[in-house]
Amino acid sequence: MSRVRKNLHLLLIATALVLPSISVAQPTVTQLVNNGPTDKRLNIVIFAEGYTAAQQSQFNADAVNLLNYSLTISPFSAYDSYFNAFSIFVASNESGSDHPSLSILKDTYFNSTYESSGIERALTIPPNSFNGNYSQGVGKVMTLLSAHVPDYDIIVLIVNDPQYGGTGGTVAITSVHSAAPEIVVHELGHSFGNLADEYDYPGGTTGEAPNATTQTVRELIKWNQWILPTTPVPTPEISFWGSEVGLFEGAAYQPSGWYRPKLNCKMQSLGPEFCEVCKEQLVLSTYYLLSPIENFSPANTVLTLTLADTIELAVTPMQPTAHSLTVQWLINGSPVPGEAAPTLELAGLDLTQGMVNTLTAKVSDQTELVRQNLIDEVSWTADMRFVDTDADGVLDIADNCIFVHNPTQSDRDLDGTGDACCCVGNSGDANDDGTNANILDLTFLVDFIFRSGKLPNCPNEADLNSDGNSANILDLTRAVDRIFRSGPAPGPCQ
Amino acid sequence: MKHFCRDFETFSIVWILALLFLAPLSVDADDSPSSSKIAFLRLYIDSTGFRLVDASIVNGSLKSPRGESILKEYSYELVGIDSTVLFKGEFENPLIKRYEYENPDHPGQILVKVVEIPSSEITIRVPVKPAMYRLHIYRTERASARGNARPERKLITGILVESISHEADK
Repeated sequence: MSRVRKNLHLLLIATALVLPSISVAQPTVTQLVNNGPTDKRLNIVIFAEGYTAAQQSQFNADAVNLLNYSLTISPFSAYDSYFNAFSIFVASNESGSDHPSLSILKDTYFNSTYESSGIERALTIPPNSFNGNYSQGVGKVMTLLSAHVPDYDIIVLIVNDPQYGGTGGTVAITSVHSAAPEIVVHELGHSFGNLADEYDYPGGTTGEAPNATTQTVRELIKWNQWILPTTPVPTPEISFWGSEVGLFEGAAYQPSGWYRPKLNCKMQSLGPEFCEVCKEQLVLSTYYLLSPIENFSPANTVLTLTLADTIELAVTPMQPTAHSLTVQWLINGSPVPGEAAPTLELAGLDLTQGMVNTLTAKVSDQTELVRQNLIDEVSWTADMRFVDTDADGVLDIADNCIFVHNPTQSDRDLDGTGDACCCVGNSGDANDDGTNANILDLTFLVDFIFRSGKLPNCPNEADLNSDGNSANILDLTRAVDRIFRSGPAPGPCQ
Repeated sequence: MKHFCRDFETFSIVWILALLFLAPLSVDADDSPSSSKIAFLRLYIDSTGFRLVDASIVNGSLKSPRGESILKEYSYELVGIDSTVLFKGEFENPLIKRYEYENPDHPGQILVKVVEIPSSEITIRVPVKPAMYRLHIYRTERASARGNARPERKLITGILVESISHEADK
């Protein structure tokens, strides 16, 4: 019996260890979209609220539908490959959400409720006007995020209630009403794009924003690059100008004195698409967090190269959905002609000796959605000041023959080019006039050997038989043989 | 009795295995190297300013904003002892709730109600860095800025966070 008791104890201990973590609802984290590492993508996290354990598959479908809807809206649709998406399901004890005026109170995980601050459609989680306890709403969201997706960027919470409702903020909240996701996208304009509301609201203003300004001088309007010269500024609020970007009065909650870029936009009312200026800002917000360069190699940006080396530099640009980013390579600030591939084969000889060379890859997004430069770059440095390619103890910058090991630096004709280097290919140009083994070279050799004439500029050129001895009778014989008897050509340079 | 013991042992093993299977099932999105850590800082705010309520440290890598922003009402900087800015971020005023909703009588029209509350909490994230010393929180008067004028920001709170990096080392 004691064995049973012992086992019972073990069982109770094991149960006690595990049950606390399962007595509260356990999260199920699912990666819905995986376009790359979380530190190189914008991570959307979609939470379940008011779904019972039996409704998990319904939540999965709702999350996918919301995601698909959001990512088909421009400009997100052009950059959907820049996003990852996760869902976090936590079961609620009851389905739905609170409707206090109807005395409908549901036991849900994040304690969501309609009617916050007296607004029927304001669907919120604490802290709100009914419950100020952060830990019972947003705090729970943050705890789950810290445990499962700490590098989140966008948070959305779907409330399993059919009545229209939602709100924005750090956590964008939507009900499952078919029209509700539209307000989520509008809220992303705020939270992700820092866009202002463009409609009236008495008693305040949100201030200057990418899509709201008090500036009326055309050249100084922040979205001036989008306004055609033929569009009047301010722009009359009539449908004739409805498709043009201009300067329309009424923005940032103010009916006058503040201006917006377009007659209508998703930041003014639900239904229309984002205007050109808001789309641009949303793309800029994407690149505020992500670089257009996803990766580069070598990872070490300080290169060690000799003139004999070659190296491959590479960048991996991000890949938007419908267009490609462009790559430009520069060496010491000068573009490398014809090099637009993401890799660059580079030889040490391409670099300038005696200085620190800078090699740069510029990656730019030339999308029509943005009318300003969207460029990022990565640079490598190659210090060519202290390189000794032939390892002869003389730095390249001072070496009179860089590729040939010539520690003595012999330069008998004192022309600055080492003896080891003045002869390239075959010998024979004894008089150093650029032509090998002709009558003038023969004359030069005769003059030097028999009349103590001028030393050869390049002694190795005068070593026609390649025996290591320059400008002697054997070389002269070789020259005579070559010129008058079609003998063998001069030997290779030594 | 023997049978009972054996059956009970079998049952125990099955039970423990079942518990293990019932233990949290999750796909962890955090695939960053363990050397990178993120501090989740929970801040309380009221009319007197911000104070740190709680800090938790998890593995992960936080994206660094590229370039200047200052578009939200509050911004924060994680600074080192030599005042070097190690990280920066922004957030909207936690004491002002803007509830936006569609006008039930005019589909598409957005209405808003702005509600001010006396106190609230917010969670911000900073990367854990050995040199981290203080968290500076600034307020930017966006609404007062006009045209191309750059809104001015004012330092309102400095919170010591030096101990967080020590905590992360444990």
